[in-house]
Amino acid sequence: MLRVKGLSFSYGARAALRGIDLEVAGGSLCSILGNNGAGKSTLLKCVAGILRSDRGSISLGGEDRDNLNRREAARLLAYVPQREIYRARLTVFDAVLMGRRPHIGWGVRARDLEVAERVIEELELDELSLRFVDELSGGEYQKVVIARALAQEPRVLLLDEPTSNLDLRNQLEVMHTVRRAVGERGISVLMAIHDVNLAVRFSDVFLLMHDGAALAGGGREVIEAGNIERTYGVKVRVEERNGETIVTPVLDPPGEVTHGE
Amino acid sequence: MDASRVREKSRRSVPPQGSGAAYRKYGGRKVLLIALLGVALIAVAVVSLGLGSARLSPLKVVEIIFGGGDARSAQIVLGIRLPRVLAAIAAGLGLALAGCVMQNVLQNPLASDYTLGVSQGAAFGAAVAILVGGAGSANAAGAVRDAFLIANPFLVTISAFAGAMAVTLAVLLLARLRGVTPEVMVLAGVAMGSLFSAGTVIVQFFATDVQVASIVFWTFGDIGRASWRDLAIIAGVTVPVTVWFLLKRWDYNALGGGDDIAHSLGVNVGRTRTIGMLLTSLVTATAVSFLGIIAFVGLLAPHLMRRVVGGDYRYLIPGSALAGALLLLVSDTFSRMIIAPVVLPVGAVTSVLGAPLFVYLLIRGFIKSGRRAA
Repeated sequence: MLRVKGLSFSYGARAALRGIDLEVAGGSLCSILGNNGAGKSTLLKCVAGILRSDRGSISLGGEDRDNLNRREAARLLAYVPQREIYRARLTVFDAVLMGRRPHIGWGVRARDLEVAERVIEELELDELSLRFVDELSGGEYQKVVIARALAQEPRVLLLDEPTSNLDLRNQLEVMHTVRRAVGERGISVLMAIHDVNLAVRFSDVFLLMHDGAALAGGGREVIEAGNIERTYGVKVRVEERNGETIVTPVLDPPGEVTHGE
Repeated sequence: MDASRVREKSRRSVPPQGSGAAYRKYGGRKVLLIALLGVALIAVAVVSLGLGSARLSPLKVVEIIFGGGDARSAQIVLGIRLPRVLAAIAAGLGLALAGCVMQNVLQNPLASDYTLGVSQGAAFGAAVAILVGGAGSANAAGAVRDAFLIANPFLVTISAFAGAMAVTLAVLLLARLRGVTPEVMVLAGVAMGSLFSAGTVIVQFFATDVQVASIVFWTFGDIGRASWRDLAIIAGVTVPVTVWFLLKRWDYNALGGGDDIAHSLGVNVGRTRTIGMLLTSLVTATAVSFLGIIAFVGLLAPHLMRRVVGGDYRYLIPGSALAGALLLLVSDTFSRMIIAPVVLPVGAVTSVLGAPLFVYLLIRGFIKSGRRAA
C-alpha cells in the first residue's frame, strides 16, 4: 500500500504541491484528476523519488521511502512517465526484461527471464516479443512500458497519463490490462489521467487537485458536479446512466463561458 | 531433456515456444556474432604481425609467438610489430568503448571524444609542451614521419593528458553548476572544444616552423609511437575501465529509456553520468596522449555495432570494444602497407575505411526498417 502524508514541493519559489495526503490500498487504483499544472505529474515524481519533496513523508508497503536505498525503492515502486521514448533499438523482450534491473546482480537469472516471459504472456505481447520497440504502434508500445513496470514486481505502480495519445480501443485495452494486473497482484496504483470518464470507470479512489492542493479525496462519491467544477473550472453535469457515472461538460451559450475562478 | 518433457512441451501448443526461449536464441545469435568478431580480431592480428618489409606467413607468425622461429624474425615480430599491433588493439578498444558509453550517458548519438573537446584539449596540451619544451629538432634524413622529432615525448604525453582531462573536468564542473543534464554537458563540451582549438591556433601562431610542423604531426596520430611501457599504461587504464563498464551495463540500458525511467529502475542517474564521463575521458585521454589524435573510431565502432547487435549494452559494450580494436588494427595495417615505407596518418585511414562502411550500413538499416513499416 502507498501512504503519503503532508507532501509539499516547490519549484523555486512556486509552490507545486501543498500538503498532499493520500492513501492507496493494495489492489486498488487511485486516479489523480486536475488541470494541466495542478501538480499531478509533480506528485507522481515526488512519490517516485525523482523530485525530492520539501516536506512530508511517503511510505511504500509500510516502509518509509527515506529509509530505502535506490535499488530497494525500485523493487517496491515502478513508474511509467508520460510520453516515454526509447532511443535505443531494443526488442520488446529486452524492454520488459529491463524491469528486472533492480533485481539483477551480475547476470540475468532464469527467474528474471521467467518473470519477463510471464508478463509478456499476460499482456498478450508474445507475438511482438522479438520486434523492435521503435517499430510498435502507440497502443502496443504503451503495453510494453506497462509490462516493464510489472516485471519490476512492485508493490506500488505510478502511471502518468497512460492513455493519452491512444485511440478509444487502445485506451480501454490499456486500462483493462492495468486493472486486471493490479487486481491479481494486489498492487497500489496511483495514476494521473485527463479523461474523467475513463478514470471514473476504472478507479476505486480519486484525488481531485487544484493548484497543488487536494480539493477532495475518496471513493466514487467525490465525483459530483461541485467538486468537478472546482477542479477543472468548468461547469459539468454528472449523471447516472445504466449504473455508470458520466461526467459531461456543460457548454454555456457563447460569450458566457464560466472559468471557475 | 527427457522424452516425457518433450512431449509435455509439444502438447502445450499455444505458444509452441515461450517468448523466453525465442529470446534466448536471439541472444545466442548475438553472442555468436561477438565471438566471430573476436576470432576475426585474432586472425587480423596474426596476419598483421607478418606484414611489413620482412614478410612472414601467418603460420610462421604463430610459430614465433609460441617460441619458435629464427632469432631475427622473432625480433621483428615480437620486438617491433607486436607492441604496435597490441597498441592498436588496446587504443581501438578503449576509444570505441569510450564513444559507446559517452553516447549513452549523454543520450546523444554524436557524442565522442571529438564533440566533447577531449581530443582538442589533448592537442592543445601537446602543442604547449612542444612550444615550451623546445621540441622539434629537425632530422631531415629520416622518413617523413621522423622528420620532426619531438625532443621530450614524455613531457608532450603528460601535457596532452593534462589538456584532455582539463576539458573533462571543466565540463563536469559546469554540469555540476547547471545540473547534470546531457544538454549542458554536450554544449559545455562543444564550447571547451572550440576554446582549446583556438588555444592551439594561438600557440601555433607563436611557434617556429619546425614546432608548427611537430604539432601538426603530433595530431595526425601514429600507433607506431607506442613503446612497451606506453602500451602497459594504456592497457592498465583501459582494462579496469572496461570491466567497470561491463559491470554497469544494466545501468546504461536503463538510461537508454531516459533519466526518469533509469531513476525509477534504481539507477543514480547523476552519478552514472558523471562517472561515465570521467572514465570515458580517462581512457580516451590516455590513448590520445600517447598516440596522437585518432578520430572517428569512437563514433564509428559503436554505431556499426548498434546496427549489428542492437542497442542492448550487454552486447553492445563487448561488441563495440572488439569492433573498435579490429577497426584500428585494420586501419593501422593499411596505413603502414599501402604506400610502404611511408606510413599514412592512421586517424585519416580510419575515416577513409570506416566512413563508406558506415554509410552503407546506415542506408541498409533505413531500407530494412522502411520495408517493415510498409
